[in-house]
Amino acid sequence: MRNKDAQTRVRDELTFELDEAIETVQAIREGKVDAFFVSDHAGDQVLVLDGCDAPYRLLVEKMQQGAATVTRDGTIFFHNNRFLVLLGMDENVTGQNIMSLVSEKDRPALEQLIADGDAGGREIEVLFQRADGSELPTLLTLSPLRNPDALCLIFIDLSLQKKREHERVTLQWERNAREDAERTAAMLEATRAELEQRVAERTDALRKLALELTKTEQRERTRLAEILHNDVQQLLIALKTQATLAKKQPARMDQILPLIDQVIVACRELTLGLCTPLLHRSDLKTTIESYANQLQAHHGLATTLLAEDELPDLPEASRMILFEAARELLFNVIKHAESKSADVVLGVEAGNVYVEVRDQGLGCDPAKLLCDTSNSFGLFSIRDRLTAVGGRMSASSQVGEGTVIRITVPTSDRSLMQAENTQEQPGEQRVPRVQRIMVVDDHEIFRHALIRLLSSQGEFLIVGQASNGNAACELAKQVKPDTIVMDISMPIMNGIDAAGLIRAEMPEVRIVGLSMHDSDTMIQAFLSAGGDAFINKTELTENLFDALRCN
Amino acid sequence: MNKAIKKSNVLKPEVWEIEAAEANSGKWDLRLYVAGQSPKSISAFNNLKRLCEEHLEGKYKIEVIDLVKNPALAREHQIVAIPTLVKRIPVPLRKIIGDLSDTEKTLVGLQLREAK
Repeated sequence: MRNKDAQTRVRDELTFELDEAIETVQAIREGKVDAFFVSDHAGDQVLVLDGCDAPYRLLVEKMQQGAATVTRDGTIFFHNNRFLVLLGMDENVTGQNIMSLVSEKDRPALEQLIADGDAGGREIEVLFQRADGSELPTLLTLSPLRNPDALCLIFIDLSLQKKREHERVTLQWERNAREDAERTAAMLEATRAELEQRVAERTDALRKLALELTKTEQRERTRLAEILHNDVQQLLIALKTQATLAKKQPARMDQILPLIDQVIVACRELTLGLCTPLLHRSDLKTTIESYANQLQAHHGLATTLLAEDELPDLPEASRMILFEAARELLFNVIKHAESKSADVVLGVEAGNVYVEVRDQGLGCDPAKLLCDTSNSFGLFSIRDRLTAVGGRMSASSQVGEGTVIRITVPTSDRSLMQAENTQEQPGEQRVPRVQRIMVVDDHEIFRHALIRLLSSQGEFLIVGQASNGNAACELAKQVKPDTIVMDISMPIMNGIDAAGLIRAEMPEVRIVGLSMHDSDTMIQAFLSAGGDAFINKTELTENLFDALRCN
Repeated sequence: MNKAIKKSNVLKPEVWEIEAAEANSGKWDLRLYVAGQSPKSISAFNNLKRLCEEHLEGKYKIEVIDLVKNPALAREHQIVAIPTLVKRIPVPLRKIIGDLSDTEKTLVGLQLREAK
């Protein structure tokens, strides 16, 4: 019985398998299957009937990436249509080597990727050469195929991405440049405002000085009139009286001669007061000594003069400044320090000659002494004249303990020499030297700020402005400036190329370069092209005027 | 009903374990063996989905096995020709070979209809 059940079960199983085999054969005959599972020496695999890869082909043809199948040596034996479109080709490139379509510099990387085979999902950027000669940046990957002799190559067009990246970088650069220009413009504006403030202060001081000069002139006239009236006139009247009496009494002639001597002395003092003829003929020490004697005689100021034995020869202008300084300082001792004595030291230090006046008087705040232009016109005037000859003034003072002021002038001051060498010839009209300047910068805000700054100086005349190197070359030929102040980084034509062109045609023009950046390479390129000087925009206010005045 | 379709491209043993709860829930467990996107495979899938929607709405799960990617998975059910549908639950296990274009034969094979 059990045996029979087992037989029945085996029969049912065989029947089931037979039914399945029949059904399989029937499905094959009816064309209802298109793939088979086989297991042979190559292992398990699925064999797909021809035509079944059509959907894949459609997918490959329609996808947006370029795709190709290449052999291990790089030969293309299949590519999709997108491959041709991206590379701008209208002919089949099957049979060509993929390397012939790739830029030379990227070939080693692609060769390595193909040699590696599966590449482990690695992506590399490859530049393809398009048919029209342009370049196509791509991101390329390789995938292995079932056939070990072939690889599937897929690349994505990166040109749009690269373009956007370039636009982003350019935009960022422009934003930075604009911010730099605005910062510099603000800096220039602040400098201009400061300069205007200083000009206003100086103008105010000069106005007060002019007023003081008028008053001083009036006082001097009054003093001279008093000397003439009190001394000379009285002496002359006494002389006339004695002379009249001497006609009758010849013995009175003895009294006439001392009166004549007194008249001579009075006249000499008067002359000395009007001018310092001694200085033209005598040395500085003698002149100061003579003036000190007068002060003692008229104002009771006891002056001690300490002078070095041998003072270097000084230009007359320097001698005049030192003498006038000593005179002004000694007079201040009488007027402000309320002291009855003063020391004057005439010495040499580090090649410079100085005059120092010391007193034991009331003293004051030294900063106030040097900077206050409202109450010390004499010092203010000396300080300005000193600046002009390259000299300086220093002071130390303390309330109740006196004051020491030193005036120093260089022994060989260039500006003095120049001043003396460029004395006007009789009949020659002196014309102030104005430098004709052309300003070139693509940042409008900065350019205008620079023009305002230069214009405010009075010694520069702006004869033209341009926003790029090309326009600068054309304009320079028309306006023929003395100097061109030009930005280096500009659109259309940069400052380096423009400097080269301008230098070739106008060798006499001075070209000063400006930039926010100070790379040595850029500066060297600018100077080699024909630039005369380079200034970093961040240090513009410190260096520009010096660079322009070097001309 | 797409949520009921589970496509398994990678060999994951846990996929094959039928959860007891699921087995007792009365939900049909169907497995369709295909060869990539071959025309008969796509037809079989479309026909199966239509039949299930018509006769087993809300009560079925289809698992699609791509043998091009994982040929070894064919061994479990001794697949020879592709596409092949395997009815795993409810038992008994039944195989239907071909693109399932013969609706009558497919319903009989799934035991949803008596053979005439």
